[in-house]
Amino acid sequence: MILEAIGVSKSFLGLQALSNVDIQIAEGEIVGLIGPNGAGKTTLFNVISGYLKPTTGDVLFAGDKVTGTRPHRMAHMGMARTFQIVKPLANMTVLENVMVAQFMKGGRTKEVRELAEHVLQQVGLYEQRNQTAGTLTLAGRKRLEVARALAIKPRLILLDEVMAGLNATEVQQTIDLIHLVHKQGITIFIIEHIMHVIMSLSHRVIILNQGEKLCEGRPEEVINDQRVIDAYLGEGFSLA
Amino acid sequence: MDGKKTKSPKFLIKYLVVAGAVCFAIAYGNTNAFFAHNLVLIFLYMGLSQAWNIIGGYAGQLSLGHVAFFGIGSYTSTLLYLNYGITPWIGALVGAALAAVVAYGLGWATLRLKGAYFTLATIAFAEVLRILATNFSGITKGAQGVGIPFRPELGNMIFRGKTGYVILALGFAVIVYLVCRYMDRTRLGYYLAAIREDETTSASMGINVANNKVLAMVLSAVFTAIGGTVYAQYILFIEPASEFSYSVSLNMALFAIFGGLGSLYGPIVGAAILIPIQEYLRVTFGGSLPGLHLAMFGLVLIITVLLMPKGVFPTIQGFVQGRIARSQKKKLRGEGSQ
Ligand SMILES: Nc1ncnc2c1ncn2[C@@H]1O[C@H](COP(=O)(O)OP(=O)(O)OP(=O)(O)O)[C@@H](O)[C@H]1O
Ligand SMILES: [Mg+2]
Repeated sequence: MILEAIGVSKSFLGLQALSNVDIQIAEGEIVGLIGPNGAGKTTLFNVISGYLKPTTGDVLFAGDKVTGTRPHRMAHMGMARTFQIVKPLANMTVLENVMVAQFMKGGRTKEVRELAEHVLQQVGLYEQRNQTAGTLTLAGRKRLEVARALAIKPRLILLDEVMAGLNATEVQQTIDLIHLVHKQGITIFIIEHIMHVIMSLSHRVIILNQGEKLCEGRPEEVINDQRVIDAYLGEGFSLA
Repeated sequence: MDGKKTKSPKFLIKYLVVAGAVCFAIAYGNTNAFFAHNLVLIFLYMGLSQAWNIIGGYAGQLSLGHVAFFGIGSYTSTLLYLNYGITPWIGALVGAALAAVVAYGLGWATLRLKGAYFTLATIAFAEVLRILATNFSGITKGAQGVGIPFRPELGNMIFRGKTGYVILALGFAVIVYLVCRYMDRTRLGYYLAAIREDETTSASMGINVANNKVLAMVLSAVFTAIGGTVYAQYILFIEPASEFSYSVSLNMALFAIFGGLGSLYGPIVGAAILIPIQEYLRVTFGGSLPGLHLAMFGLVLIITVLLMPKGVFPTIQGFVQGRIARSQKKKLRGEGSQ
């Protein structure tokens, strides 16, 4: 298992954001994480990547207990993440943004620049490399999140709604990008609201509702699960 | 960018022009004491402001208490020289080491403070040192200050005319510039800029935010302390009121912000423009109406900041680059129509 969460709970001043969540992800999998707004998906990512300490429970990365390990250490261990609310280094150029990430892998500035340019070509941001990151469109910024994550050459990448707010073409480009990343041997754990995307992309889907794991399984199993339909229909979602 | 052969003659010309101008200025300063005095202050503050820029500009932590390290430098080298006969050349390094230790402590203590709270903490810290320097009069001679006897000799870091000091201050500025230039182009420079932009994002890219911030503080303090020694050797008198004066902190920050925050040439441009204005106003109006020169200086600052909110250097750089880009476009269009 590349990633395990064992009985993870997290409460914020009485609000139970996660309760007793168990998760296992094997190396090479693409696992989707879905659930209504406020279900605790981002909180789970924050706990896994070290941004939040769980109230109880443990996180294991590649077999090692990493509960409460600080985020920069997690990055060095091979876990990358993107942020749902995009966080570009707004006054630096797109290239500089990725160079900063690329520096983690060492090398002289010149080599780092070349490798970062290569990553930008992969995600389709090469043409915008000299623009300041703050001037990118939303789609561009989401891409930049992925580019920074890729630059640290992770084993596991946590993608938090990288397609929210994109148009159909941009969504398709991002799906292609995720397939490309997966082909490089990187395990993918992805939060997404766009149901057809998560269903076609994921090998396995985990559903979170009010901080609890509702169920998990292959996309076609999950989609017909009455509990899932109830949770989503209650929120006014359509699974089609 | 990285050392392409075609660029090197242009580079060389740039350096030769700068070196020529500096040599000419030093030669002229040899005949004009006021001019030489300005040169000493300009070069000294280029170095000081550049040192401040590491934490204040690159890492974006607005310190207004850097005079603390300046004072540590000047007091350490002076007291070592007077009490133990240790040459200020060594004393400067001891002062730098002491400032590094203090900056390490201050860096960790203020790590979680943001914005105005960080700034306030640095101001308070410098104030505390000033009060300590005043009250520990057994060591520091308190408010009456300490004079350094005039024994001009290279080994004592004391020079007969001003030219020696101009070269000393220039050497200081060049060293700080070279260190910052190296930093600017390597990992630390990128990391500090990233931390300034967003600490959360920085951590996700494997950056140890705390360590890098403290490192920036230490580096910045080391060079500030050395500047303190240079200043003490120039004035040959130190006292808490001037060695821990808030105006030193303010000038260090001001020149960098005015010239261009977090840019390599910002502090250089800032010091080169503002020191002469400050000194000219002080000499011309300082005697007539107390404070008039400060008010006029403030006016100059306000007007410039309104005209160039990003600082003088980035604005001029942007303007020049814009001109070049336009002329290239014109050329391309010209070629296209033929
Ligand atoms: N740092 C925090 N402090 C207090 N409460 C928080 C914090 N982070 C999240 N919460 C709360 O925890 C609950 C889960 O939030 P979370 O962001 O994990 O949901 P989500 O599943 O990612 O939702 P969305 O689909 O809207 O992104 C919400 O009620 C939220 O308000
Ligand atoms: Mg979320």
